[in-house]
Amino acid sequence: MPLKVTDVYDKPGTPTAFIRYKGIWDMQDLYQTMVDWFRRRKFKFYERVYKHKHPSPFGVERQYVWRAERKESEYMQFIVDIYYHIYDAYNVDVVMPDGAKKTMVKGRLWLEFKGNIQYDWEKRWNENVFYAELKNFFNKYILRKKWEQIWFHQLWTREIHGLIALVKERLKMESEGFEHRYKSGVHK
Amino acid sequence: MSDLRIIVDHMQFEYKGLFDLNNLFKTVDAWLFERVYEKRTNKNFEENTPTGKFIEWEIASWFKATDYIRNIIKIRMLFYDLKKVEATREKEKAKVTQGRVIMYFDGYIEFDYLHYWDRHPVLQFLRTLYDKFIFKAYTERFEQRLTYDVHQLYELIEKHFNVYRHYRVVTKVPHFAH
Repeated sequence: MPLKVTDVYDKPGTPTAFIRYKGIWDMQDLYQTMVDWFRRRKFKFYERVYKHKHPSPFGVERQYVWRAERKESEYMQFIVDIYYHIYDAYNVDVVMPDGAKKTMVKGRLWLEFKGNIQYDWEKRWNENVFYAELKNFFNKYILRKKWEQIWFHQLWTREIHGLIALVKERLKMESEGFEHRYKSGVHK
Repeated sequence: MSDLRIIVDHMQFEYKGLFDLNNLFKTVDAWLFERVYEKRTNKNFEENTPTGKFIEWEIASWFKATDYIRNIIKIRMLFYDLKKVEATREKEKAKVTQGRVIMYFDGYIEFDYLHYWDRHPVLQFLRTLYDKFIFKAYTERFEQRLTYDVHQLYELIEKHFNVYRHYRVVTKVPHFAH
């Protein structure tokens, strides 16, 4: 039976993490902080979709689809996918503790975080079926332990949960905190 | 499909009053981290309602005991009508949270999580035979370990809320009593 593209094990992934928030937040600050975090972590950041829907009586609806990529080696790269949905949002003026006025957003927020590892991102091993079989074997049986024991923690715990902790901090959520921060090592 | 069995079924904890909410999340996370559980947040919902904050927090942390067995602890916490109030703690004023809490604890064991034995009905049959008869003593030990972990976490949360609690030696409790 010929090898199909779906048979090739070259993109193992993490679970999806969700955040839902309803209240007031500083959209500009949240957006900039998240993008800046990717920049500091040396990710290449792409805003793949930006949708601004016609405002309903309840407010504005916006959707963002983000992708961030970082090449770890010649063969493997980390990919972080974020789905960002704001609805029933409208601007409100907020008086800060120092008396200054600031415009913030009041509404609902839905965030999804998911990560993947992309093996063979240069697509060197897709030229023929034999190479693809070799790649499949290498990914499935030789690299698998590395994915399970090292790269998964780096991507899921350090990168994705690091970002989630940052978002929770910016939204001032009660569950803020990041106890797993040193799980994949103290050197970032 | 792997074989997922529920071992601890919906242990419940309810509380109404004052507590330190942020420390509660940190305590649970720290406990999971110390026991090498992987973190998985299923739900992290927070809503401001007219009566106070509503939070739903659900995690399903897992621990790979072997390359065949995986323990999963699922905790679902629901917080209603949360408000910040001032209280005196150790002779100092502190802001604490007041509200209502409901928690559910579930413990699962997932057999054959790598899906090596589910490609054919015969393999699945062999797997079931192996788990229930040949490997039975080991299976029960893994179940007991998971039960112990869930009860320990439950007790830790009871301590955090400073409620009346009773310690039960898990090994003396029959598996159907949980």
